[in-house]
Amino acid sequence: MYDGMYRQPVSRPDPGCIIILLDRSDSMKAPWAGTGASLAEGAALVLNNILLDLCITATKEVNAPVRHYFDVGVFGYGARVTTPDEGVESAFGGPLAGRGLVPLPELANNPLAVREEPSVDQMSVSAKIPIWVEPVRGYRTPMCEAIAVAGGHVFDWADAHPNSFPPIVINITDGMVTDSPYDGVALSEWVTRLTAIETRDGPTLFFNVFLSPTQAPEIIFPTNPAGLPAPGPDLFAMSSPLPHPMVENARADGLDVRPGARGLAFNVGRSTLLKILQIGTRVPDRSF
Amino acid sequence: MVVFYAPKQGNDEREWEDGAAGSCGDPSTGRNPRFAVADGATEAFGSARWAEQLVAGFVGLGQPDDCAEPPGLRRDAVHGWLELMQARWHQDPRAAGATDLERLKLARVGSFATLLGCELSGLDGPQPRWDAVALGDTVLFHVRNHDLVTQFPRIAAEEFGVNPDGVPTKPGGLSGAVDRLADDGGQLAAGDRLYLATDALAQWMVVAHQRGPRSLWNALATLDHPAKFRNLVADRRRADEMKNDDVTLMRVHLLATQPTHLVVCR
Amino acid sequence: MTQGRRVDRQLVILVITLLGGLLGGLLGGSIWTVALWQWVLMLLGGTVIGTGVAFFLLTADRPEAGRWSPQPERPAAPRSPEPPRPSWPAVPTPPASQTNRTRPAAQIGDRSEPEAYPPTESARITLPLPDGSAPPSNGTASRQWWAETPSAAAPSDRREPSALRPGPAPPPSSYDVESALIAQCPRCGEFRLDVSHVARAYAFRCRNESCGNSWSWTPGTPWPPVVVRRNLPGGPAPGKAEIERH
Repeated sequence: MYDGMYRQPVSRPDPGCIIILLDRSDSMKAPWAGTGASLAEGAALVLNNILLDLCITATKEVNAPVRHYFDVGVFGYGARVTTPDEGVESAFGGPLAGRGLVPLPELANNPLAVREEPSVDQMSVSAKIPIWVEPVRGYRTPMCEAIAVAGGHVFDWADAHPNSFPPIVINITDGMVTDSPYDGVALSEWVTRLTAIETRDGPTLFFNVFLSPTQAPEIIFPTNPAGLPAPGPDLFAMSSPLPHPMVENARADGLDVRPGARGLAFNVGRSTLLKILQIGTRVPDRSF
Repeated sequence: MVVFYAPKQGNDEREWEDGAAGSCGDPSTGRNPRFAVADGATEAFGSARWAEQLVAGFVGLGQPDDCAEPPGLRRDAVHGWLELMQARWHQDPRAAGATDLERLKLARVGSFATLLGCELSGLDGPQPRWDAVALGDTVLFHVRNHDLVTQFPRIAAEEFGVNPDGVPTKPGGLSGAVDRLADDGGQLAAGDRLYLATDALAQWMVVAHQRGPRSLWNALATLDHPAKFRNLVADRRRADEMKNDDVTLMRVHLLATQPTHLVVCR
Repeated sequence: MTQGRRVDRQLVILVITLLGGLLGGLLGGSIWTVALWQWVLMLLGGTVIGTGVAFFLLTADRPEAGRWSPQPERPAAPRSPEPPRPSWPAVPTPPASQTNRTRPAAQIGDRSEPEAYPPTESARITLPLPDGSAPPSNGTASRQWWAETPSAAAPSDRREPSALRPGPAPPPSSYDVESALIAQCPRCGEFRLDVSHVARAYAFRCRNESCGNSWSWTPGTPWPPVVVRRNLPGGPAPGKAEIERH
């Protein structure tokens, strides 16, 4: 299916692009089972950890600058902080507030804060880590608008980086879309528009992670939508198939990934969310 | 001895992360000639420093205050020496000024490098020989009259880069690594050459030897300028015959007489 | 013996032999009484035959003493200097004839050239080395006079190193690369070096801006141990401009 695609390693001449779409709807206030925190707090914790992981990967030596391996964006949809209403905005705070795609070295040097945070898996002790995203929730789920906003950034980025690994867009949500159709276009069509943006290495990848407040069985990288509760089948249809490097990453992490698996994780817990994001952002790195 | 090297294409000169060191020995102390090459892992932290520390320590050129003598080539001696190397790594004063991010990387990931070390002995006697130890896919080629006598370790072209062994900076992984330490040796003769190469170059050499051994070994024997080496590497990368990675080639030539010329590049 | 020096030697021998033949003919003419035409014939014939025999005897190939047998394989054909390949950054290559003849050899601290890495293939000095077994003696054809201490100068530890004048340095393709020692900085592995003579030794300075190591080496002794270090502190680390370029 992806013959000859998704092989370009990320490097400083050809960095990658990672965009997270983060649900900030009111339902994210629900407690995340087994974590002692809400879905919004848990998602922000995981996001900050994955951003830290990216910075660590790009750190090579004492007194050497963090390498520009990625441009990174996080867009929240639902409640907005800049204006008290519903919409889509950059989820970065502090020095990066309002910024779209941020080069990784700049991200590393400009956290919102550095503070003690609980560990994601609750197995290890808490640690002081940099924070870039704070939990926010309210209003509804304008997922179409989020994709429309992200698509503009993805288009400009792909135009400027034709040789790079294709953009990776990961949507984290706990509910159903509430703004479809947006601007007269249904959610599925917005996703089609987004994934039509491509580099020479292939089309944009769109992955989905569905959070559940209850401890329901996790479904990770399914090959068909059968048995998925709503909105699982719709998310399955919108999710890109996993490209080969990510299939290898997943198998290396002990996951059973079959041919044709989609980039969808359903009813995931907090530590699984981190694992999914790690798999989804670890691209070929032979030319680092 | 001469060492040619080139960073990964697209990287700065200073970002070459292999290691190479060689000493022609010291008759006054009885120290034999020693040569070592290492390949620092790209995804690790401080890989160049770790690779340099290993090769310099192996040939006896460690820090002046280093209490670690170069190791014997027995497994237990190498194990003890590597433990000392790990301890010294974690006390490296250059890491004192690390940022929080750098400390995190150091703690979570640490460093890792392949290593190949070689010692020559008996050069004044009737049976000169080489002995070597290796962890990972850095390779020694023993060549006589432009023909390959031994490749150590014996790695097929398709086996390079597949989870290579190596030396970690984290103490936990050391015992398992040393259990996989390989060793070999052979008789030497005047005129022989030993080539020590890191994986990208070594892989290409394995393939090129199969295609045309005399052409390969003659080309490598007559390299006398770093630009020639880099042109060779650039050509092979462009032809997709060599992986884009840091490359290192150490050439040790056993001359029966003193060299007749000194080449000083400008 | 290198090819260039052999041609010079042959030319000198030929001229001397020609003159010798001519002189012999003239002497013969003075000893025997012969007709003018016989004298001219004798003169010409003696010159030609004598020159031919001398040429043949003196210029036939002989195996050089002291080489290990079997002979190492030599490059198949003499190489003319290759056109410079693009390098980091591209630098113009000086013609080979100019490299060591018309320009005074660089002394330690000479920074007149723009630094470039890697250097182009023809940018090198190739210096014949003494055999190391004994100091070169005066009067032999292989005397390396540029390495000798002038008799008028008293030996002094504070003597300034003499500027390197390697004389008619052979082009790079003409020396036996397989018995050459390629100089490399012991501290960092750099190949770009400044070199000058001090008595029988060579004094080096590394031109890596982050190194600047100085050392000396005497032919016949081992080259100092080498550790390749490409990220020594003190030089410019890859800065923002470099990051943006890469």
